[in-house]
Amino acid sequence: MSPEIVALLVLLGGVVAAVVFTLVIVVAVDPSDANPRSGNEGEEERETEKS
Amino acid sequence: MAETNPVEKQEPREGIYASSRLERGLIVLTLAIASIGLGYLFFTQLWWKAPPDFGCRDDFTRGGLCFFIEEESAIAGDANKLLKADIIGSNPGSELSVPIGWATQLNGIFIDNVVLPNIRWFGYVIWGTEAFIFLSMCLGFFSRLGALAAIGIGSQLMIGLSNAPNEWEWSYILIVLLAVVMFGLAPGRYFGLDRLLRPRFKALSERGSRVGRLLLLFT
Repeated sequence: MSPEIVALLVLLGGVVAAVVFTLVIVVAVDPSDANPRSGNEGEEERETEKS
Repeated sequence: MAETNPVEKQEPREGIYASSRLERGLIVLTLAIASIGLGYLFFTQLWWKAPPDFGCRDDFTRGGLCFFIEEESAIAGDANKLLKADIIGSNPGSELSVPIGWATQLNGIFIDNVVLPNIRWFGYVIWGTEAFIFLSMCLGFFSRLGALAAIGIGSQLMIGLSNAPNEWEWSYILIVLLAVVMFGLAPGRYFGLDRLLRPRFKALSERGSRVGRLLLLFT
């Protein structure tokens, strides 16, 4: 196989790897989980209002 | 830290950030053109130095990547200058310029002691980095990291080859300047895979993941 064909296959592999990596992250990580709630936000808010 | 993405900002400061859909679309379009253009530039330069010989001949002493590396080494000791402005045509030399002789000498030491003796594997590092820049800039995948790599490669070429015979210094300066803009704007956030990745890395980061924080920096 010529070096150019090998290089092209490597680049195609890179494209596929980037897309697969992105898909795995999209499926595995829920972005809405950012800033998880502690459950006592109401209490914290009341404390803030008092001070 | 608060996000200040001008495209996604809900209440833009009047007259500063894009407020209409047309203007937001224009920003995304121009960033995509610039990013894909920079990526394509690196794509076109992958073929004359394709592994495993990187275009070199005669046991890695001539031609291809070896030619340019040896060219950098040959002119490293000259009184090299950058950003030359020949204001008065009748005067020999440039009235304005930035001396970079110290940088080309350091580059020469690096070339002679690290790159040339190890060209058989260092060629893969160079080719692989340029291939990553192509993928990163064209797919918007870890685009800030890709732009940082483009700044690195572009700066090395700018220092090493700007003063070589038959080279136009602005070829390399413009690569660096475009890469700097891409580094600052991280174009993948506007059109590429980073658009999908970044909110998830942010979620990981806010859950305390160090890997998430690191990956967030690269997008």
